[in-house]
Amino acid sequence: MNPLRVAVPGLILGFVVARLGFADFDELHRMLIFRDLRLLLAFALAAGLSMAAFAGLRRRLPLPPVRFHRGTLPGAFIFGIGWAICGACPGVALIQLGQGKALAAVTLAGIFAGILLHDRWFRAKTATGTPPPSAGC
Amino acid sequence: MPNANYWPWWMGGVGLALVAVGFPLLNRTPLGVSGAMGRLVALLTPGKTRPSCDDESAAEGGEAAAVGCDPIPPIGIDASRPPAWRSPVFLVSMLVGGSLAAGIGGTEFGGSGLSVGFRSLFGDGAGAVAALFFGGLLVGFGTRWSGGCTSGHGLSGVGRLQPASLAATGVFFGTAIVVSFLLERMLR
Repeated sequence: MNPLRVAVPGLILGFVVARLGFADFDELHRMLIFRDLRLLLAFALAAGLSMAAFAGLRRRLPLPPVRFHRGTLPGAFIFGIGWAICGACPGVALIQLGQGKALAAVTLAGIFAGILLHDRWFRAKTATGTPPPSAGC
Repeated sequence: MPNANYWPWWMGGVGLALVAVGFPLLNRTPLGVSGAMGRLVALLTPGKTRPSCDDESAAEGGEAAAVGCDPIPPIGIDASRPPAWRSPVFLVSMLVGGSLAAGIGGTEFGGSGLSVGFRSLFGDGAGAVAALFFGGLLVGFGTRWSGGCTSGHGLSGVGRLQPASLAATGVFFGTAIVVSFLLERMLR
């Protein structure tokens, strides 16, 4: 498998997110309090274009469905709280670091700790029979 | 004041859609940053995380299957299991993409990462660092539990009209909106 197949989309994603200002806490915060709808419009356009493309490619590009599980909504709720506080989703923290924003390393450390905490918690739970969620992403 | 250096919304929208659709076209698997991040953490901490769907054992119905994590079904021509380096390469390229944007694009390079608005909410010192770490902790736990983030649920899942992703995206967007208004109220 050619590494460029993941490296090129990764490069473009990092570049676009940074140039759009999605990795800037202030821009994101202004979107979330509806003071500036620029990022919201960008997101809506991206979703709309993707819907059209995926609809057209349905036959050629079969992808596994995203499964609903008990963590889907509470996980999204917890993510939403964290996103509003630190202004970063996992990719954004990396992009901020790439932009030379040193403190994004703290956000990344938090994200890594959160993932580890989740996996340990659910590993403990699986021992008692509670199934963990699927990795849909 | 919004930073005039940033792209207009439509350029960003086209760019994000390009990646959301281009990634699965090239790799036969949906785009997902938090998933890649989870696999990276699993690589770095062997034995400490739950078995990933990408683990070899999943194929033989071993430990991963026992915890309800079924392997990703083989799709299309490139049905082989993704190599371990795939997630790290993807994540590092995103980071480099951010550097390129700062280098060529005119986005500010360096700085503490504490933008003006963030500082006015959380201050400069320990409070700001605590907010970044605690926020990150919730982001890591939440996206892992939910099985997706702004890319996996928000772009890829919504673009494919997946009910779970539509619901998750509504929940994390709605929650972030409420929390942001609360932060404005309490801290500003």
